[in-house]
Amino acid sequence: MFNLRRVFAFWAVVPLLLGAAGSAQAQTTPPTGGTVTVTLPATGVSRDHQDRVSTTPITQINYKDCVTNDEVTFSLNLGTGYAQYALEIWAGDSCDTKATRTPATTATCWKVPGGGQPNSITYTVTVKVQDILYGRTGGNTIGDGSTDGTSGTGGTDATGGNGGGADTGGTDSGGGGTGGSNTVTNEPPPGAPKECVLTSAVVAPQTIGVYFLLVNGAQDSFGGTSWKATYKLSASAPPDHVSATTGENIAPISWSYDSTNVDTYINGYQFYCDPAPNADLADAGIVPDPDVVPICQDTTALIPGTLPDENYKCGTAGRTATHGNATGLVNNVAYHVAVASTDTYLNVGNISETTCAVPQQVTGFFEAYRNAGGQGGGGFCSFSPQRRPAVLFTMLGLGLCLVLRRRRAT
Amino acid sequence: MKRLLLVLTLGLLGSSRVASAQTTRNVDEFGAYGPNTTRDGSPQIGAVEARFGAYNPRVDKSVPNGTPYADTFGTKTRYMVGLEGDWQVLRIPHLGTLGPGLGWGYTRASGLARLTSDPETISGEQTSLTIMPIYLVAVLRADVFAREYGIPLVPYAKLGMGTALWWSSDGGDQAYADGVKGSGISFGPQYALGGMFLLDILDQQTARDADVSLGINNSYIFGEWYGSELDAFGSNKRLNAGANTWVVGLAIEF
Repeated sequence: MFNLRRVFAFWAVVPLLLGAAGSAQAQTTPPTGGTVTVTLPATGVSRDHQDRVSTTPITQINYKDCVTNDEVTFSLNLGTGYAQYALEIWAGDSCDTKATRTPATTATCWKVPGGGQPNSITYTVTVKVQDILYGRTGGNTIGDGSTDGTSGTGGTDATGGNGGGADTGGTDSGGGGTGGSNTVTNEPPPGAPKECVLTSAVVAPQTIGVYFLLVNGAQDSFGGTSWKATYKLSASAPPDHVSATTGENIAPISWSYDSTNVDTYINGYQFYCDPAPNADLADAGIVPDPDVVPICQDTTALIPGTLPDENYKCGTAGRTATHGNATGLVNNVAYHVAVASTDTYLNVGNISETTCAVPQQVTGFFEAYRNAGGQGGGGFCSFSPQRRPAVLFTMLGLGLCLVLRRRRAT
Repeated sequence: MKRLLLVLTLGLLGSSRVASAQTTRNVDEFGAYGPNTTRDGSPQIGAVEARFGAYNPRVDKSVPNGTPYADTFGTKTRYMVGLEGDWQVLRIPHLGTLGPGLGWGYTRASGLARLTSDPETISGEQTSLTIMPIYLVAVLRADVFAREYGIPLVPYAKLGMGTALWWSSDGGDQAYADGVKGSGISFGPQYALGGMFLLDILDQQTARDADVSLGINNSYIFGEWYGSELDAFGSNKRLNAGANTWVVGLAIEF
């Protein structure tokens, strides 16, 4: 039986149904069966870097991580509906929004190698640090280069200037403003790979997201998750003033900054000495002579404003220290000494101007005491048979007598 | 015999407390009033002192030649902080308390080492001597004046044995001289004479409150002269880390 009312009602409902389906698809529901989700378990991230210490958060990226192009491995869990989509990996800000993934416009996100068509409900992918930082460093080629970023504002404190605005399709971001009155700068070390040189002058750690998205051919995402990392590629500036004095097999070092408004991310200081503490002095033609106080010759190992060679490291000091000792030195040898700061991201900064130190034999209190004929010392548990045992034995004996007398009385 | 002594002691203690209580406190419908010179309150079992004073160890007296301590650290006065806890085991009627006291202190002298090749020249290397005196003494506190006559002064005396752990460092590391470690223990007799001023009389209500709420019977400021001969009874084999010096501080009895 032909029912005109039923046919009419059917065709009236179809557009509504289609519209509803389309709307759902734009959000998270796949056009066919199965759930479309991407999850990253808390234990699903691992780092390849061997130099990290146990207390360093896995989410931190420093300059060394970048130079060595450390690898971050993610173990993702996908919903059962994954087969319809490709998994894409993006880095930047708010990359789960389609507009931010469009290169021709804002380009605040960039695609990271490692995605593809999943063939399992679990998906393990390894991402390189330089690829994550790609859009924030000199390696950035996002956009067509038509417009430069806006310039940053001048800094007024230790954090230096604010970074420049984002590109509008230009090849680089806007340059940062000049720093404030203090000396904290974001100078990249000479020879640093451009992939690890930030395009902004921000010294403080920055946050970046890595997004894992299941997308269709139209770049619509149907499920995703993200991992947030923080990066700091430059250490704090070295002290402005460094001085060294004489010690025995050590060089006492003092340092200071012109401004008291020092980088809050400083975590300590490292000392560098040339010749290196473990260097073979004879090979270097150095013969210590107690009768001659040598002077420092030119150094090619410690160049102010460059990253130090760890082989020349000769001591450390804590975050709040203003003086410390370079150790492992040989008396009557002239050493170039420099100081570099380290930060909470384990970055080692450029080294300071060098100063010269010549360790020499000194006479400390205990040595002076012994030289004056004092015979004390030898440790807390030391006892000598010549140390008037009679007095001790007498006291012990008296004590014993008292105890015995008391017992007898009772 | 022992029991008899105990009974006698307790009897004397009790009678003295009752007698003094009867003589100084008045009572009306609101309770007790007037100066509380009876010392009644929570039981008193000990005392604690927070101590501060000069400390110039007699190191140079324990060496036959020279003055290494003065040459290295100078002659300016160094200071010590310390704590002492006393257990007032025995109350002697019409005199005061007697019991053992255990004390601890800490002092450190530091200076710059001199170049061996040119002793007139000071290097940049820190050298230091740290001393930690510890002593066990018998403490007699004659609080009869405060308890029975309302005079807020308590003279006291201490006598016992002291020891001191000491260690020296150069450039922040343990000091050595010809392979001998720069640390050791010194010991010897220790004695002290001092006087305490009873602070309770300045604010008797607060003093009573402290007794009721915290169990603090009395609080004092004190000054003390004390000496310690930590040279192992005249041996030159020990660094004499003792001192003849003065100490001031705060004390409470509880």
